[in-house]
Amino acid sequence: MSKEKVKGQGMPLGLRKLIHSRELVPFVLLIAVIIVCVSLSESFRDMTYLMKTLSRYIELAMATLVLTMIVTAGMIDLSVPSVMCCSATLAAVCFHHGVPMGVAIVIGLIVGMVCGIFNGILIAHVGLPAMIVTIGTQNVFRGIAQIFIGDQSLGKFPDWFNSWEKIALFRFGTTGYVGVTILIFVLLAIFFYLLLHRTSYGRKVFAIGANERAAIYSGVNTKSIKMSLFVISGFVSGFAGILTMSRLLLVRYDMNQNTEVDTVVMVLLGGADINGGRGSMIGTFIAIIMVFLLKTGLIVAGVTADQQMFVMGLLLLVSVIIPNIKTLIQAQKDK
Amino acid sequence: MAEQTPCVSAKGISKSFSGVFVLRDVDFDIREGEVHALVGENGAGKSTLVKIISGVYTPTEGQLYLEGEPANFKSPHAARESGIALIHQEPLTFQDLNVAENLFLGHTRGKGKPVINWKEIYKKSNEVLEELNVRMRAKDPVRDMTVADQQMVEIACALSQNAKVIIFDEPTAALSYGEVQTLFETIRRLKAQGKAMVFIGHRLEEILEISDTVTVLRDGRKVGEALTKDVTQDQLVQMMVGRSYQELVVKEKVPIGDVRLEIKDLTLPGVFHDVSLNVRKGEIVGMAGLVGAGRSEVASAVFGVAPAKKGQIFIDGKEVSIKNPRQAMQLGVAMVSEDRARTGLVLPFAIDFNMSFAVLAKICSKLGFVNTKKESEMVNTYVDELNVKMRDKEQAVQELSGGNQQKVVIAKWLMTEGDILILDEPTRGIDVGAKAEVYRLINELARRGKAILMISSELPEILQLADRVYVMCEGRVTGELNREEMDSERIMTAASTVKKEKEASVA
Amino acid sequence: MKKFLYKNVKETATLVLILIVFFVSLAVRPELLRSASMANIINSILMWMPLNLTMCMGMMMTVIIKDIDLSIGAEVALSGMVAGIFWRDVWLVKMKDTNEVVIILIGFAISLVVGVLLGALNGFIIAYMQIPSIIVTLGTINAYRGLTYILAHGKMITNYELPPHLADLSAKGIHIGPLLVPWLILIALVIVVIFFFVLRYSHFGREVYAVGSNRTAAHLRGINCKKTELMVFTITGFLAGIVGMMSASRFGYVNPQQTGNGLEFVVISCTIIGGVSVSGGSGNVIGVFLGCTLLGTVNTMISTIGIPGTVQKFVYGIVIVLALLIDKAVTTMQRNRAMDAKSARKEATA
Repeated sequence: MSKEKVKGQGMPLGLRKLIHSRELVPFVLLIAVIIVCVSLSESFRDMTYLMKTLSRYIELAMATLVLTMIVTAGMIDLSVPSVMCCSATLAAVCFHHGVPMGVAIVIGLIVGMVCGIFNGILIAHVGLPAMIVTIGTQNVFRGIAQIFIGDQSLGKFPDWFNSWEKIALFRFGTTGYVGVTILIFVLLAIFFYLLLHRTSYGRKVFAIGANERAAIYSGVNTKSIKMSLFVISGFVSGFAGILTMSRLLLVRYDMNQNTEVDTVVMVLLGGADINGGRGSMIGTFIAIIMVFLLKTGLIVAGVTADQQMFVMGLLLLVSVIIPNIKTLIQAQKDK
Repeated sequence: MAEQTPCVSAKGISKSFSGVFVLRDVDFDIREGEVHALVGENGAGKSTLVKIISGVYTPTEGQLYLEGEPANFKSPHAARESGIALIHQEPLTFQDLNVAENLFLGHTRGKGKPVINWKEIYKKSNEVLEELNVRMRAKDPVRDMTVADQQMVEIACALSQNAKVIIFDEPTAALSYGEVQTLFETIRRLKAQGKAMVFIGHRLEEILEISDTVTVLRDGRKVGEALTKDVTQDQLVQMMVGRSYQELVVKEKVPIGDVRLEIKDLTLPGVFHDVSLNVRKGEIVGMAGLVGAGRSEVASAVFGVAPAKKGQIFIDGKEVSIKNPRQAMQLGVAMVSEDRARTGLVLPFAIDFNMSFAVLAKICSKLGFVNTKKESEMVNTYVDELNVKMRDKEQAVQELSGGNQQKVVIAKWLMTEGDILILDEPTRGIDVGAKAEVYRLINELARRGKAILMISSELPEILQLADRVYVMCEGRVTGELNREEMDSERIMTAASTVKKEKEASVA
Repeated sequence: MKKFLYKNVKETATLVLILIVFFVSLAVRPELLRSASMANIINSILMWMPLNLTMCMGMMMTVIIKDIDLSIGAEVALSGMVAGIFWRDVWLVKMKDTNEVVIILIGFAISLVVGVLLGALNGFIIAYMQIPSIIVTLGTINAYRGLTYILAHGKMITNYELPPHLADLSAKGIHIGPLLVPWLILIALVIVVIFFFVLRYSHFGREVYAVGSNRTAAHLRGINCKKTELMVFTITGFLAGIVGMMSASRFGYVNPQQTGNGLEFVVISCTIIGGVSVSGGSGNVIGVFLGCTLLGTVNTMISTIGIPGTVQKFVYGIVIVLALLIDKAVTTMQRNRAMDAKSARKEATA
């Protein structure tokens, strides 16, 4: 019981540690999903197909990595997909008003950061509840996109910008390749793993999530740490939004709509505690792959994206109920 | 009086939490028309005992009797329905509702219609309030009320439920003198009506004033019961502390140097006013006073948690501005705060995490990576020095005993190597053995030349350890005594100075 | 008067805002003053309000008890969808000759039962498994709407599959001069009045406030907090069932994508603007009614004075953020006042 709470320290070393680690549940689930999928469908033995599909989910996954840190710090950010949309839209709008694409991308990234700063001010400095604030700003950011482009889609970007995900890092088979966005995702995952589990910054994040007052009393500037989390979240979301635009070749105001739940599911399945103080970058990484496989599997099985919402909703409920059952039983015993 | 059957009688009560006994074989009787005081140090088991009587906990061993009949309360609510009400130190009221609703919500349910008969409730509330002789009316909102008034609401609530037994858990801790007197009048009135009452308190003069019988607990055992008129304050202290106290604390003489920390006219309106004090190198300065006198708040201001609005702070003679704990730490100030669980530790995390948390900069590379080897060296040093008993360094601190938790907190602040150490109730809630170790440590630190400001509500602790003591009362420093001048009488006089003046002006 | 204003600062602010919105719009477009356009404006506000107002009553309770229900939009869609499927697959196929009123009532009953079940499931997980409401309902948004898609099988329930007279509820009503007060708003007003009395005069209503205000104290008083919480979510589900029918009546379809989409944001905005504090324990029906009216007015005025509809989402978002800020400011003000009063009293006794 206590072991898993210990620091959320990285790689499990001994067997005992492995059994008690937060990553165990998502890991076992992942293997189960893989076995089921591979045995049921041809497509899962086709790496070319898998890699191609993976690149469709990879941008949201990048933002989910940052969300893991935010949840670990006891907060939440439901505005991630909206920030992605907002940054991409504004970058596209700038481009169509004559700004060179390179500069437009930088503007998009800045927009993402500004969105993050806006969230951060309201949550860290004014002290409003993160959940409701980001429900509000979710509408604000997507609303901004809608104001600028309405129901239109903006595209016709320069060739160098389009389809970055198809830039092959290395090729295999006849048509198979690993795209550069997947590499970026892996690099980001390693970076955020080190940041959360190996640095003083990460320790402060954990402490804020578990006991904010104790962190303040230990001289941690909790406001600036919280603020920085949202700024990072905004920046990475903006970056992910621009990658999405490059893959889709265009941007619409409903880019990534209704994917807030997916991000939260991946973080919680990865072993983070919605009340803060626990979280694992490795767990999130595994959960991302699992959710990706599951969704792909559902598509292969002929379940439409709309109907998949049901599965994702249930998955979210299960991922919060299961860890809680243990606590509930314990509480019953203590009476 | 003693022959009548007690309203509530607890026989042979023991209670253990995860195998650790906090109460052992305690007998306790509450009789009609009597105020029974319960005294003891922190951690003596007073609160646990009243929580058992009021249904919050179930006893591990022993039996409760209500009017001679065995009773087992499954919930606080069940105890309430049997006429036992607990008045909490921090009133449990509904801030958003008015007085009448606070009195009647919940327990009027199930007696008839789903619709509330407001007229009747307002009438009944006003009756109860009149009976209590308080100014408030049924329709007043509770939000803007003082703690004392909210306490009255709780008492009125108990009365409206026809409570026979009313238990006060440290009711006077946050009250001013005038408010305490009002409360006492109320208690006397209730006594005249034949209610049975339990009164838990720290201020012994109040105990002597209000109670008829007094029971003393120490380390979870009952060490004595007497009629109040037969005991003196000194006897009570003797019983509460036991003889072992003097043996625990031996003051070491160390040379005292220059002034390290000095504060001048520090003011936070409504909390403390014009507080001036200084602490020298190698000196242990005590801060005495009653709970709620503003001592912890002054410490919080110096440490930057809740900075003062006016006044100056000097460190080594230089004026400094401390707006947050970070600045305080940079200036070499460290504070072991009063509430370990809420502000001192991250309970679910490991011992090494907690110990090194305030010195992350020292154990990290320039890029911010934690050097675990360096961390574990530092942690090992302090674990050995402070003799922390644990399974391993990765054990969660919440699994440690109070004493060992406190050692972890102290180690955390020693690691910062700050020269000015503020200790706020350093021995709260820890057992006698651990206390002795903490005292030895404090002596040792003074010998190493740290300037120590120690807040303590346990007088013997201050009398034994401190070189000098400041006494606070109602947000002001009301006395400064050297070691030669220190005695409990003088300190207590200063701690209630303002009151005495008020008494004079009232008379 | 000053005391009244202080006590009802949020309600007063909302009322003032409604007036400001009205006058600003009139200043921009003076021609709206003509009685015909005025009636149009009021009619469209009256059309906008019933669904939101009804749903607000549920949201208000969940926020007062210190929870929130994000799944209401999905509940509306699912309960409407099940009733719609009944009409399409049972009524039109097997019961063609039955009296239409009976058919409409059966549809209502189905919708209400589904709503109650969905709400109760939310409430059960939240109250008895002790998981934050916001996470649970975030999950059930998806679960319920996903289920709606699955049941819909890619088809929506169209106008022809709904009982023809269902639309009368929104199209007909009481005529007052040029004004048409549709039946829907009257239903909504009845619900509002019921909630006014329930929250103010029933044990259940006051217990909702008590639990939201101080859960520990409520528990010690013998209030069954979990049951109260379960009830609140179940009632919210019940209201969602009603709104499912209202929505079918007003829009003439049940669509897995559009029915109830974004409803939760509008309703949360109304509730928070209406002075229900997110810290629980406070808020009242009148305030929420005003909040809902304000948003209805803003919504109508936006389109009337020619601001494009694409601004709507942005406005809702900003309104939520602003309402949170106002809530925070008012709470801080009240706390400071209480602190000042306390220290003043202390000074006085000293």
